[in-house]
Amino acid sequence: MSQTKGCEYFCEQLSDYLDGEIGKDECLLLEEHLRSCPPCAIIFESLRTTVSVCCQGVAEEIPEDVRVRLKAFLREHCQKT
Amino acid sequence: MKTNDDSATIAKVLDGDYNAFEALVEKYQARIYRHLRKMVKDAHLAEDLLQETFLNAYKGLGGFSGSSSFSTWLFRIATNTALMSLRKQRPESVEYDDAIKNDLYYSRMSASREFIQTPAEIMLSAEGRQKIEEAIESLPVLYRTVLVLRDVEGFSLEEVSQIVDSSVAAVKSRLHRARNAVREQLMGYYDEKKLASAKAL
Repeated sequence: MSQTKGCEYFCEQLSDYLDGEIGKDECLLLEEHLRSCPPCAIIFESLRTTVSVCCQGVAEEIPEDVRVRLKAFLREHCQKT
Repeated sequence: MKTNDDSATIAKVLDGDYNAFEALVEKYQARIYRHLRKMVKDAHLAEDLLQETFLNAYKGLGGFSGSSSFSTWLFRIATNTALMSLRKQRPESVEYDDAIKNDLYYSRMSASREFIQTPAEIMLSAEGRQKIEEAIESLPVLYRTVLVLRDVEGFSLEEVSQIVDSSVAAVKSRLHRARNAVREQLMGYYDEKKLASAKAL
């Protein structure tokens, strides 16, 4: 099945849908479209995968030397305030 | 985003307990540093801004009203500090930041199965993580800021709008484009990877 003009309308909603930001009726219409349109279903799955890997794939780390310098900087400057 | 309630620690800081402030720094420094690294894409500048952010937070803590969470308030200081620095040093990177707007027409949205069929352990391998970082860093600053705050830091749309001082509608619009730009890049990468391995056989 190829993408249609309606696909554009639905694909514009996918990010909001992932965030739970679209209304119940629109939600049902979108879900119905995704069930019947394989290209849009792939776009949706790939968007969901993207959000998931961004969430898990960016490390939360701070180098030890940056941590040490921050502590020293704040001890020095916060005493003056 | 739900974090532990910091109000008791903040009250101690306001009572003059510097150790309590260091506890707040310890709790948030890695997340703030990650956010700043993503915003300015320069380790040395991010470190300067990290120091400035916490110093500004210390000086301004008396004005923290508690109407938002402490983390939202702190990320707002960090974001403003980074944007002020970028406007001063690289104004073009902020002022002409809508470049992505015309670059992501729906017609360019591609639908390929390779990306969604790639196992998570490959996407989250060292190489996979590098590609995620590169895709995020390729976004204009206001877009990557919104994406990082929502999808990496886990703030709600309302909190992101408070942090970046934009409407929720503007945040949603930027987030939609940012997510799709990252999606296109990752999908292109895994399509090419699949093609290269097929050719090698």
